Amino acid sequence: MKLPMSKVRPILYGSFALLAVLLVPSLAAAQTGTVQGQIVDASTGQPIPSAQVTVEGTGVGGLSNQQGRFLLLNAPVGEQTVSAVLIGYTSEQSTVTVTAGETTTVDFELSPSALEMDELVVTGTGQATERRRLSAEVAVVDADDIASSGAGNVTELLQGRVAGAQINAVSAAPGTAGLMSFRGPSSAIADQTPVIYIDGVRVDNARGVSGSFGGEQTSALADLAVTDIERIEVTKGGAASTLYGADAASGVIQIFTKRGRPGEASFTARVEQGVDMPETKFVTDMDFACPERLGDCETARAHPSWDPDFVKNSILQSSHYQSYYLGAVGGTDRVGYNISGRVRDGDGTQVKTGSTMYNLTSSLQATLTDDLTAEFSGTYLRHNFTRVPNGTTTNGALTNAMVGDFLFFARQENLADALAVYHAQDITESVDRSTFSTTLSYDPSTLLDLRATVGIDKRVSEQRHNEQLEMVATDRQGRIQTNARDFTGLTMDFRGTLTYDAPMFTNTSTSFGFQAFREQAKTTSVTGDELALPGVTEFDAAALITANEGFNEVYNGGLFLLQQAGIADQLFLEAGVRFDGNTAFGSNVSYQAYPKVGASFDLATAGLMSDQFQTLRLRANYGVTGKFPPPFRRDRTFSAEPFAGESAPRFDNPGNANLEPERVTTVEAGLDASFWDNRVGLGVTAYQAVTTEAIFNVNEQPSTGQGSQLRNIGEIENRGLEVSANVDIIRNASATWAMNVNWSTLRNEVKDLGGLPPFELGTLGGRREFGRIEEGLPIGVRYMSQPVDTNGDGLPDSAERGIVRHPETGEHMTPFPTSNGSVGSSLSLPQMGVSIRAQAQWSRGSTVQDYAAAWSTFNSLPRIEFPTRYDLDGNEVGQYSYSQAFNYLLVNGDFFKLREITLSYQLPEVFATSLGGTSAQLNFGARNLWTWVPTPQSIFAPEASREYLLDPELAGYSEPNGESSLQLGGSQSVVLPPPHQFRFGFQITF
Amino acid sequence: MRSYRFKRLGRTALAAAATVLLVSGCDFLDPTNVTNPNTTTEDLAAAAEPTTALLPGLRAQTARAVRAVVQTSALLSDDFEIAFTNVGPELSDPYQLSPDGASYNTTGGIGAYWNTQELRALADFVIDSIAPEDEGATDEQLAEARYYRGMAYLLQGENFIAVPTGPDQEPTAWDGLLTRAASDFSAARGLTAEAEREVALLAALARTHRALGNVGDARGFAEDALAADPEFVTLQNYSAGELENPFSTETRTFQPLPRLDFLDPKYTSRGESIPVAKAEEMHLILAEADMADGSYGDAAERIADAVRLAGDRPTEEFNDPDERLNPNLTDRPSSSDMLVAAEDGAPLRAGLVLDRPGTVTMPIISGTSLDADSVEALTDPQEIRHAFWLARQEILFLEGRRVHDLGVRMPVSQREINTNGTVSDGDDVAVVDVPDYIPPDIMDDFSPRDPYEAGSNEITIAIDMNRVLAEELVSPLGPLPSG
Repeated sequence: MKLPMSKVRPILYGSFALLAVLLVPSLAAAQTGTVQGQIVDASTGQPIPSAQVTVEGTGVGGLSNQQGRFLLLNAPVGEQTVSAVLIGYTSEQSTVTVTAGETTTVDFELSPSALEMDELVVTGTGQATERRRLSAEVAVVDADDIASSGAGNVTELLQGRVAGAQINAVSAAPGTAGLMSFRGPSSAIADQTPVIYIDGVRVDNARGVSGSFGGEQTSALADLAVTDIERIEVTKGGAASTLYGADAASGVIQIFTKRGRPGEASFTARVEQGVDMPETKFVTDMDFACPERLGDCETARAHPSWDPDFVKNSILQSSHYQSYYLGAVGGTDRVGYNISGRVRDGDGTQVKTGSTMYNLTSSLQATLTDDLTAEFSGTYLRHNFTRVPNGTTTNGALTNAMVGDFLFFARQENLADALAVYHAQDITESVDRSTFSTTLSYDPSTLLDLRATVGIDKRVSEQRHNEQLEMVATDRQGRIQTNARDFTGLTMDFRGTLTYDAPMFTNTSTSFGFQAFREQAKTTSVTGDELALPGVTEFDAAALITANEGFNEVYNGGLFLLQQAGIADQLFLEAGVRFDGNTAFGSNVSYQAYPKVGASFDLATAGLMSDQFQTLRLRANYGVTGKFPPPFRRDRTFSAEPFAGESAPRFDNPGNANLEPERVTTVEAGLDASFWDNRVGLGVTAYQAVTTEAIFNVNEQPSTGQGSQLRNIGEIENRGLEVSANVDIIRNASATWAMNVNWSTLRNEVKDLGGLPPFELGTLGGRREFGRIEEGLPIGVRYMSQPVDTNGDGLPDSAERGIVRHPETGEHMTPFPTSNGSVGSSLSLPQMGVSIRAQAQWSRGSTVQDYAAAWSTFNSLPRIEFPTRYDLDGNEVGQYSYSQAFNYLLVNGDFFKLREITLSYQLPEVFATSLGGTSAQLNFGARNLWTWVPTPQSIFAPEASREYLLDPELAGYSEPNGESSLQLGGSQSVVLPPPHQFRFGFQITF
Repeated sequence: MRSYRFKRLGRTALAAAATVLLVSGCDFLDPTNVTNPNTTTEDLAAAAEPTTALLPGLRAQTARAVRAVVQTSALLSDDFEIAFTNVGPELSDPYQLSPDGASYNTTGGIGAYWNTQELRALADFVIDSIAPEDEGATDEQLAEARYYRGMAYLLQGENFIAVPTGPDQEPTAWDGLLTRAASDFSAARGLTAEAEREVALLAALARTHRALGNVGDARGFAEDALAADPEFVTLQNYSAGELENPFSTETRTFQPLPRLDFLDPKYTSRGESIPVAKAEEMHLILAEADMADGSYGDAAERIADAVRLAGDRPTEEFNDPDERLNPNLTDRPSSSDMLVAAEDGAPLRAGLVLDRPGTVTMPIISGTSLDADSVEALTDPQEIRHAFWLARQEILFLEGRRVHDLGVRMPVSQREINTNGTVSDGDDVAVVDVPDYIPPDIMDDFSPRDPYEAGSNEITIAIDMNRVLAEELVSPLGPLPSG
């Protein structure tokens, strides 16, 4: 389809004009009544809060409150179907007669269910659609899970809660967030972080948004706070994500914030106090080497500051955490609101680190007319944090202590003076983030509904690094550095759905829509080196000032059409297509079409299964998604830099008019089953996702003088199996005990390099051998220099680079796992008001590169022992250096982590009322409690290495090569794992 | 009434929303309103004086090419050892040089292959595509561009086996590259009226013809250059914080051979210039031409001229914090009590190692340990050849000549092999060419590595490559007559 980008504007404005025209006749009043009632658990009789209650086909709906009560205003008069839905329960429907100006009461008893097929999801479905009608898997994390989690940001929250997701923490450093990837790396160049929407607005999800200190960078995901989230929906690419078009190949995360509800204002106050304790399992304390020319070890040991536990006692710390929350929710017959504020503050587990976050959230919903509603939600967040350099650095205390350079790089002779040197610097950062979303919904009849959303995400950050003059760990005399970034993202979304019954079909609907977004990111970094006097914090005082600026901008516009239909409420079919145009596409590239088709069929409803099955649904789908190339890489450009008072131009990007998005075509099939009275729920999905037109950075011939150009020449495949199972082991009035398991596998393979020779991923100076792209092998497969025996005498005598094979299994190795999963359990004792949840995660099949072991070799620290090298006559000629035996840095990446335990106790009502409230709760939460790793961790020197080397979960050291580049993890220098967190909370509702 | 009020509210809200969207949203929602912040082809076409605009780019790229060759030559030869740095091991010894070495194959600062290719390509672009269409381009500008392209060819012709000069072209052999260099330099002479550029071009032509083995032309241009200015120096400038001189920072990362200790650091700050041509080299070219003609007595006098001129060049006091450490953190010779023999059996010489950390006096243009009178008094052809090579090594220290002088020729980079269909792995042009007289792995070595631990002040270098070059009668002007 040929449609130039310039034609998008008329479409855009036309769409809104259409909306306006459709809205005008709606401004007429109609007669309404009120529906109220209470929802309770059928097995325990306890009230159920946060259930979704709707008057079907009318757009009127709301949530039940803490006592399970709900109030629906403006319900159209006449016979209406009211439904109550909540994750973990089978949905119920009831028919009521609404009378004008009167209140009708209807109560619900919901039965627990291990499989939720009636839940409404909206991500990638055009309109709110019951899960059982979808052919593709949409994962949902509900309010209960979110509230009970001690997670500090969205990546932590999703850890272990989505099958097929790999989410690894990066480090304990404030401002960092986990590395996310769904269904394996689908690209060899692009970051795998899913796109994220908050209340329909696309938000900044960039990973490396600050300067890099030893490889640790701030992530924009760190300030997506988890306050007042109602629900999160996740699609992992494929047909489920197709309607998001050219940017959905890595999946979509959609966050919905809490809404107001009719009724008097309800206030909630929550106080949390806690302690964070550093994870020291992988910390090797003071056994640094003492190079003689810096004073011998005796000098350091004789000094009063000597402490064998110096790292634990002086570099790390247990720290205090506190959080205060105040929220109000309520509404009138036409207006609902939810307003909250939160302050969160914690010292970090490394001295000189800490974080303070202020968060204001509000949402308002107004019924403007009987068929027109407006919703607004907004969040303002301020995040201030400080950190220290870790990882690949020569001026970080932790790194230098653990690899033996503590005295050397500080040029000091005792621990106290050296630590003072490392601490003579401050790394501070502040983030201001505002996210706003406005939605107009027009629902004139059961036939048509329309929605228009406009929103903005604005994130402004500034990082400063001030090195004092006495910071002699570097060769310079003081440094003032600032890294600023300004992100603006604007989203416009217009969609409509026609719902009707066609001959033979039921639940038939046609959805259509237009979506546009623009993103701008400006970065400025200035470094001032060489200062004369202490105390100055402005870089213009420096002798040597360098400044850099970056600017990225992209606009994407897309249209979609989706047809859904059901037959006999058993077979559901869907087919759709999305068209996308994008300013990053080459000038020869037109709109891209992304089709999808899918079907699901419920054998149980069709009566084809025994009664033991409440659900047995088969589903299959085919869908295409895209990943647009980085902005401006289509153009031939010239760069320039200052030289000797002139601006000196140079060839830059060679240009590619045919640059198009990567296309991921996914075929998936699966089943959902529930049996044993809905007490066992099972979901199985198998998928194959093939990336065609995969983009590689193709080198130009050196004789052109031009570097490299992105070209669509490759093919990459990911295959996997995802299984999730829930079992209600005990379900009665006094107790509910449930278990859940998620498990997924991944096989990744580069199918075609488009004629390119194999190449390396992100090697800086060739020394940090991350991985290789080679046909027939996974992306990032380990390819390193390793000892070899050239004369066949069985003794290694040389070194050469090649694919690394496991010494026992002979298999090649990857930085990402081949399988991972989680197991959780929850126990609820409603009569005692107690509920307990626990969750653990595991990962298998990855390898991690322990770069700290390379550093340690300079100081002869026994971290990993490198093999003996022989000459051709079989005589020992010493040890291999790490650069010759890089494979010896590899450690087993398997782990099992007890991720979180939460306990909540509903205090007796009398206690709450004595304080003037309606309910009160005590909470205890613990996170990152225990880590198991196979020991010894070293793969090539298990007998000659430390038992514990590193926390393999951590994505750790990253190549700081831009916001949107591929990051597979699997390489670490010295990085501190996220701490053991303990939280005590008290919450009271008035 | 209430219902009516809401209707009014609804209309107002709609009108407001529509206005906000259509007015304030216009620019932001206009898909054509995305502008590349860099200069695109269209932008360049709109430049008023594109040649003037691009010349600073050529100047900068020449600075990059020169420093990459200087750095590569220093590390690959016996001049320097890699002690503490991320530079790849392939640059530590000629025998280890492989086209895919990360520091050799790089497009970054140290990539000699890349940076000379980029210089030639950018110069081609200016000379062939931009200047002919640019009415404002002057002869002087064209002379400058030709000089830079000539430098690209000269650096390539001296140091590489063969290099393609355009996409999908077969590599042009080193002598072909040098011929192109001579052609560009000669063309530039016809375009320039600046005396300083004329001297630089004469010196470049002398150097080019020396590399080509043209004794007469080498001698002629060297004499013309000296006649134009007997003490000339042409400097390649650098700028701290921008394009920096790589051998001035973090001095401890590269460690000189102990017998060259007194010359390092030649560049004491990050903005220090590197000489690309100077009168001393002309004297040495004349000496070499004399030797080629069998006139060793004349050659000794010419070498002495170079040594005298070097002795007249400025020096600089420098407070050097370098501790002179071996890669394993033990101490290299770093005090003036050290005596250094150029190899086993060679005489022990004092004054070659200075006291560090401490204040040292550095020759910033030329320095040498040779004494002019002693050189002049030499009569033995082998000793004269030896003095000649030592003079070249010391006087042209850190000026990018040593790899060429050792007779090593570097291969095309792996990037060239992978992208140019005319070149394959294993081709003659893709494998480093190292003369048999160079021993593997020991050129940078000496003993004892830590004289202080060994309790000795006598340092012996593993091999004296100047003695080897002299014995092997090596010269680009052809094998020298033995006597």
